[in-house]
Amino acid sequence: MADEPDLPADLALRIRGLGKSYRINDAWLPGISIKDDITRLLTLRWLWARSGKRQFQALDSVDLDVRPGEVLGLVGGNGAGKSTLLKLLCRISPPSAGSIRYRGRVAAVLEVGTGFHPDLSGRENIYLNGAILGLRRTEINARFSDIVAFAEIGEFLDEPVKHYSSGMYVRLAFAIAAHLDPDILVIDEVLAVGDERFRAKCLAHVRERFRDRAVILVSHDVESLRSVCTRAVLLDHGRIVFDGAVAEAIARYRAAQG
Amino acid sequence: MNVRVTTITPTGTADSYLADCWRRRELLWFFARRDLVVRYRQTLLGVAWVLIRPVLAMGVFGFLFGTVARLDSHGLPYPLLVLVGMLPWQFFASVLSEGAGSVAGNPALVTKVWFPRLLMPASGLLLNSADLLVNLGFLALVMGWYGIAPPWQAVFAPLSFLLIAMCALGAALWFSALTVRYRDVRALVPVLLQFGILATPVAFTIAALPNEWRWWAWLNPLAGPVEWLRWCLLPGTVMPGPKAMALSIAGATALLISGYWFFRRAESRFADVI
Repeated sequence: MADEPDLPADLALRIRGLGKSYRINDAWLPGISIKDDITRLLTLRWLWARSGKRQFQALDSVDLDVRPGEVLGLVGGNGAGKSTLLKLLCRISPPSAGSIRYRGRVAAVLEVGTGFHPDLSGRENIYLNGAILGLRRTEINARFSDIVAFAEIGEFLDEPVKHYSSGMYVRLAFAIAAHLDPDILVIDEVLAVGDERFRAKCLAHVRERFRDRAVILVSHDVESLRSVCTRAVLLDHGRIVFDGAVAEAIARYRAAQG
Repeated sequence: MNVRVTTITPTGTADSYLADCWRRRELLWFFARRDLVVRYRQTLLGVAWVLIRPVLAMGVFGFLFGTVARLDSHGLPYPLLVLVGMLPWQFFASVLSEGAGSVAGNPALVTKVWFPRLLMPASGLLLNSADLLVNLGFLALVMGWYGIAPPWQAVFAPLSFLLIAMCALGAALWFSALTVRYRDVRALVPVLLQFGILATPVAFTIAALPNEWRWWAWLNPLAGPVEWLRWCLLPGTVMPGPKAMALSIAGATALLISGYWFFRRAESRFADVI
């Protein structure tokens, strides 16, 4: 695959020929212990396994361009490759083929409150989680009061988060994610958090804050996709089968689901 | 606005890994802070835990090797020889045992967010350096109590800390990467440390060994930093020879470089394997 040397100036992200395959049912799958692997080596089962290894293609030749200002929704059934695509985007797992090119900083919220520690206070977790998600200490300082206000945790700020209600926990976690200010924000399912009012607040926040940046999100909540996305991509068995208007992507997705 | 273009391909990104680590260096501090708070919040003895291991070792090894076996103590109180030996050893053992599980013990971090994973085992260096400082303060008190002043070569003590940190990080990198794939490697660490403390001149000096065994003892890269620190801080002990120190420096360097190489090779697949 010949890659363009540069990313066109009007794009935030360009994906070309992206693929990810996992080997399944083969003898090189991580063993339970070293002894297991040594036994496999000695019994030459790996020779046989090499020739007959089965590949699971989680993503296959995906091409995608995203412009600043777009809110792109990924739609598809379980196992369509949505989460795999997000993982490759934020470097958690390396692609098997193709390339991803983006300008600026990608921040990913694949889970609410990644790295939160129950024994640390809300304040301490804001710094820890912010640093894990890629903020510098000075950036966290600058956003601290906004985050606390957005999370609505008030006097619980210095309490260990293990004493938080699940609603407070999720609000704090999302408040940090909402203030990352990346050039590309990647969100997996986490918009389905909190109560109705908080969810509306989060969606409004995303719409307002990312007017000139790119957002890529996965959600099974069709209503929130419809209200926040400007474009949608339908994935099926690791391939893009539709790319365009949100309403049509949702309609095709529903038709495919039967 | 940040306009850096990043390219991700199957072989990784064009950015240098160490530059990525440097950019995210604050994480070291935040991980260390988390581990510090978690270690001492809701504990009975609190920071006194730092001193328990060296104090127990002083008592037990001082009695066994000093009083019962009557090994050469270079005219010093035997427990003092043990205490100085325990400082680098405890640093090494803690960095290794905390580091070994640092990646495998945090699957949520590995599968949900990217940052250079090297920072996970490396953050132990920071927290345990604080422990080392507390232990050095305790050593100063004990030396004052015995009325022993450190000799002039105390200014060279940092070489010992540098070498022990290289060994500890190198070993922690090996074991943390192996533990992601083989969970039973983690169980190997306490066994290794249990025997390692006896294979390292912690509770004895190499000068107390029979001549033909000394070179075997020097083959252990931890022997150099331990014996060097003793010579730096305690008057009357034997200075490690240049060949012995060269061996230790080479061993520590090899351990660190090979650990880094292995960790980097394994790292890209952590999220798929964990």
